Amino acid sequence: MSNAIRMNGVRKTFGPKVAVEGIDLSVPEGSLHGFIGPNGAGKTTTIRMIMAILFPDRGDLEVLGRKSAVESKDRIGYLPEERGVYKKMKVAPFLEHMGRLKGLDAGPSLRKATRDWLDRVGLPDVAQKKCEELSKGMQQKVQFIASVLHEPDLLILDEPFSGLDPVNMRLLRDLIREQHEGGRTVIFSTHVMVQAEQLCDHIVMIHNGKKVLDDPLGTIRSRYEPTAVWYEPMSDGPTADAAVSAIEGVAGVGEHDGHREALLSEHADAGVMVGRIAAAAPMARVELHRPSLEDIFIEIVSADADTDELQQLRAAVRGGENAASEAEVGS
Amino acid sequence: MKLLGMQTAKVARVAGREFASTALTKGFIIGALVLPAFFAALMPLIVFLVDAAKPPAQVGVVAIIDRSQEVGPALSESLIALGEEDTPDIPSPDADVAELAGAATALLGDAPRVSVTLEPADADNEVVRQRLLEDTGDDTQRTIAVIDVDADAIRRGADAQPGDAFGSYSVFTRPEIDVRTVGRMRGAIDRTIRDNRYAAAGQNAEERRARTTVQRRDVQEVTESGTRDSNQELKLILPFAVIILLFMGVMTGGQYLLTTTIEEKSSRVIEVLLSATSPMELMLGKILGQLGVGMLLLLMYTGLGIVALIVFSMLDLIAWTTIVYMMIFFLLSYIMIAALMAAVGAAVNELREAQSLMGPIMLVLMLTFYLSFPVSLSPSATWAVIMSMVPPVAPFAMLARIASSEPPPFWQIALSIGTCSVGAWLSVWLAAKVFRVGLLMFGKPPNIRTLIQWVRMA
Repeated sequence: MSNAIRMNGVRKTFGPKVAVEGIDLSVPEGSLHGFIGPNGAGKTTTIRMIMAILFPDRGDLEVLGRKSAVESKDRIGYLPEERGVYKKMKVAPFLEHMGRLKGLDAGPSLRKATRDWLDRVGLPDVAQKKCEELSKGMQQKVQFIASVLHEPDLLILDEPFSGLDPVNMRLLRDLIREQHEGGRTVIFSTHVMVQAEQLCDHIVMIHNGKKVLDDPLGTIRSRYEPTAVWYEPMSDGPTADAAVSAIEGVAGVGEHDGHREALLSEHADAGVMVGRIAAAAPMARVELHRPSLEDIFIEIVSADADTDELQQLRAAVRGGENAASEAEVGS
Repeated sequence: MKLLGMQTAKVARVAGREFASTALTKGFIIGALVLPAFFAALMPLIVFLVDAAKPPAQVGVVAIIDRSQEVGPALSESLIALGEEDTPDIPSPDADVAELAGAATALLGDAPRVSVTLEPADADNEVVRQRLLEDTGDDTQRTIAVIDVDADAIRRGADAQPGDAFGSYSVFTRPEIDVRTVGRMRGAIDRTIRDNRYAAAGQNAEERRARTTVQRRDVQEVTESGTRDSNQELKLILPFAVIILLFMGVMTGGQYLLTTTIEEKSSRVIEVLLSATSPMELMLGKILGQLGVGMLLLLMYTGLGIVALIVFSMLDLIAWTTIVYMMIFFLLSYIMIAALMAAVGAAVNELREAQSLMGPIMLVLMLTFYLSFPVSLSPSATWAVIMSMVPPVAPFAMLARIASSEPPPFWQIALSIGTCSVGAWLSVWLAAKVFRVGLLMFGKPPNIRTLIQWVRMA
């Protein structure tokens, strides 16, 4: 399978600040890649270089088999992080204008495609409204249409879920999946790792301008074996904790995100440990806790960060409690 | 189709939207069509208001100290007579004096109605002037002016040589006396003193005036269609009109370009556009779109001017080549200025921030505009020829020369087009670099130094 995107040793600086450092990347055609990392990690700069909106200081870059996206912009759909519309322009003319800029011919087919898409995203009545009359969420949906109207081969979405309510988040996720199932290569960036976990089949993790992880989600999950078991004793009290901590293979017990958690020793078999913990005391629930992308990210960057920095990073990649809960509601 | 690595269809699409979003708006239509029509309709009202603003018929006493002892009574008569005539005394050698005076009356207002007191020839000026400070309670009795005529105002002194100047006179007034009233009194005094000088020299004043007056007849121009009155004034105005049209076209297009670029940047739609076009395609499309707007205005006003010339059978006043050259130099001048304005628009976040960066551009444009006026008056001077070759002054200066009475040779026009083309290319090249970097820069607005860094960075 050929690559939709290939980057080799790409570096980008803004004055003294190094935004992206030596990124190598291959995105196979038809894949659904997630670029994840906290705000300011270098995701948007990387995407802008892929889109030939910014140009790398060093390194090679190929998009859809061309040396630059400039030569294949009509085959790429792009939803930038900074949303923007012509405020005074009506919705349908705006979408038709964007479609024509992407190489579509003006005429009934473009008008029909515009109408169909507005229907699909639940905005059938806004075609003749000015963009400024729409809510932020509506504008975001209009912009998503602008990015897919010309049926691109490569769809790049920068933080597509930010600002959406849970219902529209679910709608957008379904539409992204649909685009992927239609054979398109999809890349989307997010700083909320739960969103990437729910949608992507391949994860690229970026931190401080450097790629720190680039693997299929399955590979990541298998590599980062469960290291904890969550349990819920039938009755409160120290008895259950004491029983669990006494089990061979349990390195310690504690609390994590409101759950009682038994941390497993390095060589402990997770499957066996679930049984032992369930048998140690009357339990309402025992659950193998797999590390989330957030945990994996924190583990990867923890070597270079102190405790305060780790807490800040954890908060950043969660995107706040609201974003995380919205993602869960939408899933 | 591609041209210089750009997709012409995308450039055209951006240009089309830019033109439509500017020229097909109510604001533009009102500004370009309705406002000029409104001001044209306002002209009669302005004339009426000017007429209504004429000074009141001022009354009072004029004190005359005639130290020559020859002109006092005549001066009295002249000043009193002012109140009986409706036309001001305008010294003119032309036969059309009555016509001019009639027009001037409308502006100058009613004549002052004064009585006169003749003071002794040796009266103390200081004492008489004190009356100007007195309040009599009766306007007709208050002294409004003191006229002090020199002893040698009519006859030179015994030591004077032929050709020496005569004495003159001084006028003292109350502060509230209208300057136009004083002007009319001075006209009457000048004429009276002059007539008395002629009489003192044994000459008949009226005969003398008749002898020194040569009536001017209008210059006649002979054309293939016949003889007609010359339009020297219009010929003088023509270069100015052409320069103003050019300036208006460049400024309008440039300003719109600045505004729309800032709007696109501040509304963040710019990144969406950049996902579909290259920065160069976007900038060029926007420049071309606003070029269309400027060209529309230029053609509209030029067309109106041509219609007026046709109506008054004066179409041959302006050569068709002048209009063609106006369009060519408009194009070049516009590209030079508009590209820089697009760069400024891309560099800032809001219109307010653009002011400091616009300063140098506006300075150049205003300098260019004002320098072209002296060029039109001395079109063949060496400095005018040089100015018409050096961008960004060249388009204005060369057009002023072309529209003048001494058009330059073709090779100079061609050379000017060449240098302006290079100037326009340089401007676009420079602007493109700032445009590309600036579009995605938000936050603190850049200064000139930062812009230079961007040019190096791009």
